[in-house]
Amino acid sequence: MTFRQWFLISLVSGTAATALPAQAARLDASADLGLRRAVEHELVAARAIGLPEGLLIAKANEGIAKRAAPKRITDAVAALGKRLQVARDQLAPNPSEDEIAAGADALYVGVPAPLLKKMRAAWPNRSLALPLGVLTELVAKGLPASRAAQVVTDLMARGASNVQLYALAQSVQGDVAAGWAPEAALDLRARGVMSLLPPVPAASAFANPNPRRP
Amino acid sequence: MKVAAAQAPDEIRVEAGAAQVRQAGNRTRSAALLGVTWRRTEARFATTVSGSVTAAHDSTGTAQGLLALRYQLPRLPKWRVEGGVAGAMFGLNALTGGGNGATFVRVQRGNGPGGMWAGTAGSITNRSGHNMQSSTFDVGAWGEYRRTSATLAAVSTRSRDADLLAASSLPSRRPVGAYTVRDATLTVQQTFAALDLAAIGTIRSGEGIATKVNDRSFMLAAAFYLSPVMALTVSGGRQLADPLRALPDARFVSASVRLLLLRRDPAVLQIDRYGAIALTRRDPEGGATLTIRVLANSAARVEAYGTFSGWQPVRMNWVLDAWELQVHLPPGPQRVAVRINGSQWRAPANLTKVTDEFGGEAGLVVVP
Repeated sequence: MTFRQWFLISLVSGTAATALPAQAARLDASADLGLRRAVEHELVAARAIGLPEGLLIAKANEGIAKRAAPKRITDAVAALGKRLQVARDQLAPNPSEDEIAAGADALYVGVPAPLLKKMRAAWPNRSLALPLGVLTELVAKGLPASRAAQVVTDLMARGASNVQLYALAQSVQGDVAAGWAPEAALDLRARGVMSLLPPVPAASAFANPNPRRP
Repeated sequence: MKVAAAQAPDEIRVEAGAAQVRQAGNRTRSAALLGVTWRRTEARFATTVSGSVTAAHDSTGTAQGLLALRYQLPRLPKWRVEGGVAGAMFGLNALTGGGNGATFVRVQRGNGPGGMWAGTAGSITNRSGHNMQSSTFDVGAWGEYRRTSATLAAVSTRSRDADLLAASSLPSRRPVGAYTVRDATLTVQQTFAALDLAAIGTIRSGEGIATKVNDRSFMLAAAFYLSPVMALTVSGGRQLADPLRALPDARFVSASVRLLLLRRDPAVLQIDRYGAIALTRRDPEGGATLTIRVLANSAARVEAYGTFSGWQPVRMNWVLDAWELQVHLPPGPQRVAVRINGSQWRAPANLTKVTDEFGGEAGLVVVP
């Protein structure tokens, strides 16, 4: 026991959240001249149409960190630029950088571009960053994009909060890992979230469409 | 430890084996060993509960338990406070048996691969209806360089447990009244591919002991990992009498099988060959704290990377018996991956796996 306790004493070390450097919006210094020029070319193009450059630089740095070939990095940056542009257009009129990034992520995993526009229509005045992240996760897990987008959009239209959408994704993830079919898990969990939301008010023949102010 | 098992632990370590124990002036005795350790880590708290039984036909048999809590100070990330209680029921040879209860508190300051601590502890040992108090003050430092780590501790113990030394030493060394012993202990650990080696040496001096003021001991231990969750361990040497825990002076040799079991958690439904998992906890200030834990032997080099580090590898920390890293993530989709000994990057098993444009994979975390 003494032996074990010495180990306990000597090996117990901290688990504090590590303070890590923020992702710098600057191309990694180790990039060679050819790569630097190719990425700069993409950045100029992105700048010209108002796309967030930082995301492109981060993608280039990701490729450098992963020791990818310069051509592959340039292709990845160019492809991301296109996805960002599509995402921004579909999430118009005033998408935030987080929304554009999340939209580009969704496109990367196979979400069709028009579904982004539907989601914007369902939630015109709130950030779509998290719903798009949830959609991305569901599709990456193997759910058909149209079905996943339909569920997420329905929940958003019914007033689901970000936390509820997040919980939905977590629950589906757990169910799938436990052996459930992804679609069955999504349907089950979506019904669970739906049951917590306030009902949609029924259309009333007596409702005055233009109520008079008192 | 039934209580621990009922609380959905993060992980369990079970160790079972046999030992040969010889207390001073007595013949060698055989004993069976069984130990269980349960550990759970949350945002700032780490809880460790362990219990062990040494089963023997005579009074060598003991049952021991430990509860330790560690708290990470929120505004002082390098500082931790650790405290706990330990208890034992035992039967020392030639005595009628008894019990021991101890409590300790320790402050640690970690700085990169090293750190230091200061602590104090107190205990009461009861034998035949008599209570005998012991107290200690200890300071120490630890450091790590590549695959070698070392811990140096200085412990001063004042005790009235004269029976302990009487039971474990020659009669001529029986102390009179309260006595003080000062120990300097050096622990050196070296890890190889699947092998952990540890050597522990202690030099002791004392006051108030009739004779034989100076003493020393040495222990060796080895753990050979057959897989990330199973190891064979052997240890042997001499432990000096420990008045705080009422452990007698003894020479021993032991061999055991160690199993590292990671209990299924609602967020952990599958363990890949690395046993890597990632758990997120929402932070009140926004974002979330991601805890990545990897079950691999301590000799491995375990790293994580992702959007949180700008895809720069970050070395994970060895915490008790698993590799661990905690990072704060901002809201939005984030990606993380882990690797062992420079091999391929893998998504933690419980995260949604996504491939990137560079042929790699990562786990997707959506932070609310």
